[in-house]
Amino acid sequence: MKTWMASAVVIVVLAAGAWLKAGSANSAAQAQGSQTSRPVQLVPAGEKQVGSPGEKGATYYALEAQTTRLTTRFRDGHVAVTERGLVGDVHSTLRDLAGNDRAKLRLNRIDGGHDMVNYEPTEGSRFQAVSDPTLVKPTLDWAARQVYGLVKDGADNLVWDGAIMQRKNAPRRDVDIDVDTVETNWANGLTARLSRSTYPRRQISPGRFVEGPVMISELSQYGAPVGTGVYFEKDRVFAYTVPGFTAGAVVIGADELKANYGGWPFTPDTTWLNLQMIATYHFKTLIAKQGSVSARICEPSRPGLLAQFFAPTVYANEAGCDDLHWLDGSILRDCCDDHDRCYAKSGCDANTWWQWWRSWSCDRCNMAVVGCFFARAGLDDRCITRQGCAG
Amino acid sequence: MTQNAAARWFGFAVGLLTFVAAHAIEVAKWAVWFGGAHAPWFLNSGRAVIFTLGCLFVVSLIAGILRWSGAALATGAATAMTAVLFFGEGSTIFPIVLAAGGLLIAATSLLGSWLGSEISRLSPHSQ
Repeated sequence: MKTWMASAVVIVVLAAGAWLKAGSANSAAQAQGSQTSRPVQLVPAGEKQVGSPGEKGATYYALEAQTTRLTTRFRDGHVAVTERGLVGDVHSTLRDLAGNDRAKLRLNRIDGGHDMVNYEPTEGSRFQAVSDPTLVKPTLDWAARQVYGLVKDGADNLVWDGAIMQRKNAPRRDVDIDVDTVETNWANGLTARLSRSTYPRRQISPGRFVEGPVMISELSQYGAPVGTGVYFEKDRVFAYTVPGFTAGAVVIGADELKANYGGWPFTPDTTWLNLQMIATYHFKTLIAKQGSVSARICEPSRPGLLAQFFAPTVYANEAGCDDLHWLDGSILRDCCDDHDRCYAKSGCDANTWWQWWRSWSCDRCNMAVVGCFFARAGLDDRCITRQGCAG
Repeated sequence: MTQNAAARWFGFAVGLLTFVAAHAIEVAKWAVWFGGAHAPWFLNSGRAVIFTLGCLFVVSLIAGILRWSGAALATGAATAMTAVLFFGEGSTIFPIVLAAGGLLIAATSLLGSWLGSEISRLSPHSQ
């Protein structure tokens, strides 16, 4: 009898346990079902989905993620050096005109969308905060501007003002106006250097005249210049040339973007311009390697990584006219870039000016640049590049 | 040493020192006054071009009034320019840089010293 009783108790307990487990699994399934039962957003065929106005697209952030180092120089002499670590962590150090550290900002990814922001000024109190993924996508550029804003405006009573943390009730700071130069170091030895200037009136395509303040991005790969982009801020026109890939200058304004985007979807800034030049060169190189475009004409040979390691100074060069950068905004600029490409192709250095017996190729480079300067000195300064001249 | 030779050497030294002083100021204030892009050098920035040539013009104007040689002053400044360029990082187009810089310096110095000598000649206190 006792055996029967014990067996019955065991059966009842097991049955109760099984019933409870089934119930909980069922409720979990129901709960999960309620979370995933949102309707799928269908997009009609042919309809173009664009990002939110004022925001940069996913391609921008994908390209930005490959930036290894960003050096931002502000008009007041402060310099922010921002680097990305191997695991995606971001470190930004702001130094003043004298080179003294003013503050450090660190970003550490803590989950799919949130970052821990650590701010450590040399003077004042430090803090750490969690980023808000609905407001900001932390990039190297964001870190540089954020640390500059915190140093300039203070870091107490912080609130989110758009994508920027700043003191409560403080006026919004337009950091892009404060930016003087930006150097973007990217993968594959690509470096884009941005500077500002003011260009006189010029015609860059038939019937299109531009003038005024410009942002100039000079792209180089392993020290050899490979392209130039200019954004005319007043006329909202972007013009670029990548010799060997583009036949002359490509000009993009609000009219060209109207069909797909209704105009510029955002205001181009200093960092965007550098990334745009890098992206243009990167994608055109990929297409050329896949053989879907015609053979590259006039494309200089790029110094190999090994050669660059052993003889970096041979190719070390600045985009534009070395020690004559005052003329970088003029039509003489092309003479210098052609000369730099010629030097990179032939492995020349400045010594070949007097050691003329060393290389006939280098002599040709030197004679060509002198001839170019003489030929261009009498021309009207109205084109972004020689190829882009209209008429 | 004749008075003419002394005036030439004075002009040469003043031109040399003027360029060196202007370059030193540019190095010290490059980021703040001259934009900060590229290396400190008077032909790397429009503002630096104006500053250096402005300094040379004022000095050559005074030199002209004092009857020092404008050509010697230009030679001194050009010598300093050449030295600064070669002691710096160098340039892949240095002959063009030297030619352009030399022309600007010569034109500014000669214009300044000529104006100075004219002022001196027309001055009621001259003679």
